[in-house]
This record gives sequence, C-alpha cells and structure tokens, in this order.
Amino acid sequence: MSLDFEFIHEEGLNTDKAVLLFHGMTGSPYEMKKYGQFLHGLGYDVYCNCLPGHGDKVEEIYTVTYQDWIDYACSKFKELKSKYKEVYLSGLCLGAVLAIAVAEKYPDEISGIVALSTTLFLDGWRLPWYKVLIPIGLSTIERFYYTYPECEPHGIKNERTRAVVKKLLEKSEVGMSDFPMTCIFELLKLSRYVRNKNRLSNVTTPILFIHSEEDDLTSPKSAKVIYEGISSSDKDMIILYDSYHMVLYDNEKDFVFNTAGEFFNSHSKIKECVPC
Amino acid sequence: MLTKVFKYLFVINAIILASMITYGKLFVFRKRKPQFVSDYCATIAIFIAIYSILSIVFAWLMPTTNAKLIMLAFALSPFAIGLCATYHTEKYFTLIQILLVAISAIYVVL
Repeated sequence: MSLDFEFIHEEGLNTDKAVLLFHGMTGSPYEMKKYGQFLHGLGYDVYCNCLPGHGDKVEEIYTVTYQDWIDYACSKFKELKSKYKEVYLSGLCLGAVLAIAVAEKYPDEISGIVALSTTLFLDGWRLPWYKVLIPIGLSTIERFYYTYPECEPHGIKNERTRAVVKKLLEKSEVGMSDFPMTCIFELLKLSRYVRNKNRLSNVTTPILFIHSEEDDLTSPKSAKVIYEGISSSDKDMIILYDSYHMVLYDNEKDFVFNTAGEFFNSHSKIKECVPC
Repeated sequence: MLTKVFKYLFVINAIILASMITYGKLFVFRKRKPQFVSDYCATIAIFIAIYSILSIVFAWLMPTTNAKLIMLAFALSPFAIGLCATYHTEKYFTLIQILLVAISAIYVVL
C-alpha cells in the first residue's frame, strides 16, 4: 500500500499553485496528510511522496545517502515547477532541512518555505545519557549495528494523541519504529551540507520557521542557525511553547496549520482557483 | 609498574571489546529489542573509546618509533574501519575489527 498522496483540484479548475511536502526521518507521507488536506482546502494542489529509503523500500534506509534525498527533492521540485506558476515547499524535521537544500539550489524559483521542527542537530532533551558517544558510534563500525529506538514521548506532548501514534508505530503502518544510525549519519551529513555558509547565503526565498521550545529531538538552535545564515529579507521564526517535535499533531497543530496557510496565502499572487 | 598496569587494562579491555562485538554480531544486533541493542551499542562505544585512549597511552610508552606508530595505528583503526565500511561490506570489516583488537592485545603482551 502506497503512503504517497496527491491532493489535486478537479479537472477544469486551474489552481496554478502547489505545495510540495517532505516528511521526516523514518516517517512517511502519512504524517503530513492532515496538513496537506488543510492546504488543499485553501486552494493549493499538494504533493507528498516517500523519501528515498522510506515506504515500501524500507531496507534502503541502510544504504540511502543524503545526496539521494537532495536529488529526489530537487527533481520533485523541478517537476512541479514545470506545471505550476507558484511552488511552495514545506517539511518536517529532515523534510525541513531538505526544503532548505532545495532553496540553496533554486532560491528565486521557490515562492515560499515553511520549515517545521528543522533538524540540524540532535540535541533534544529526550536523547539518552550516552548521546555524547554518538560521534564514536557514527565514525566506527558501530554505525551499522545501532538503531535509536523510538521512545516516549514520541515527539508529542498531548497524551491522547501520543497514545494513538504509539499504536500506529507499533504496527509500523505509518513509519519506522526506530532510527538506524546509518540514517542519522546521513542526516548529520545533510546538516553539514546545508549549514555551509556559502550555500546558506544563497537562500533568498521567503521562509517561515516554526519550532517548539520544548522540542524533544532537536532544540530551536537548528532553526536559529539557518535563520541567521540565510540572506532572505522575508523571514520569520515562531517558537511554540506547548508542543514537542511533531508540531503537526500536537497541542498547537491548529495554530501551525493556520499560520502556515496564512504564510502561503500572503505570498501567493494567485488568490483563488479559477475555472479553465 | 605503570606499564604493567596499563598492559593489563589494555588486554582486558581488548578481550571485552572483541567479545562484545562478536556476541553482538551473533546474538544481539537486529535480533533483540531496540532499547537493549541501543544500550549494548553504547557500552561497546565506551570500550572503543577506552581502547583508543589506551592505545595512544601505549604509543607514548613504547620505546621505539616503529612500536609507537603501530600503537597509533591501532588507536585509529576503529575510525579507519568506520570510514571504509559500507552496509554491504560491514560483515567483513567487523571481522577485521575483531582481529585487529585481538592482534593489538597480543602485540602489547609480547
């Protein structure tokens, strides 16, 4: 069963604006679905596919590289750019970093980016005591043995939602239940790639960062590093105070949806769907 | 006296490290629950760190330049192996890692 989704307006209604969504590490398009439906309701065509190494080909998670992710994201963006006048990007976690990587290559072609829980550094409060050993784990043969187990609070502060997500993770229906170290290794390589000062200063795309102060996986430092490094004159950062990492599912999800929607709408020159 | 103490520490650490990697490869990695694997790997990481530090200490204590260089090579070997290994070749490099740890213990004793 494919977890990919596309919310496209019916034939005969020319929307001309699209949002390309990128899910998080070891996640799937499922985690972006409600967000995608919301944006679709605002008049956008929305696309979200499994990143390389995720979804049906889960064994590829051990061999996928950060360059595969970048190549995929860029090719998807170019594909949509050939069909739509305005293309926006939005991503969660790894997805947010990918959106920035695309912006470094095509800064003037993206209409806007909403980066959610941008993950450059793994410095959240739920990481175990031995997180100081991560550099050893990453640089030795251990990289192929270790998987970081998905554990409480699963990135969600709201306990009811967390219980539901936990059940879904146990069935592995919506994503992997742990993070292979090889994948973390590639995420950190992607982080170094994106943080390159020369590349970061290429970014002039309007960007909105949304990050939780209490993010259990990655602190707001990740978003701040990008915010301070980019050359965009139109940039903003919103810090949430009642959510953890999975901001699309947590206590402030409505606020996140509405804020992202307002951001896209305020940057769109196409105000409504028009019949062809 | 100090050299003897470090020798014993090095050999014990090497035996534990080689045993843990071997046991882990056979019975733990991708076989046990993720939390257990996580804790097990963290413990191996500690022994790798101790192994590298003790190798550097021995590099300092060794009398000849060749011996110093050999000990430095042992100290860096886990990281060199990590650099060279891929998902498809990690079995072979695991074997090489275990053998290198064993050889270093023998070298230090001799």
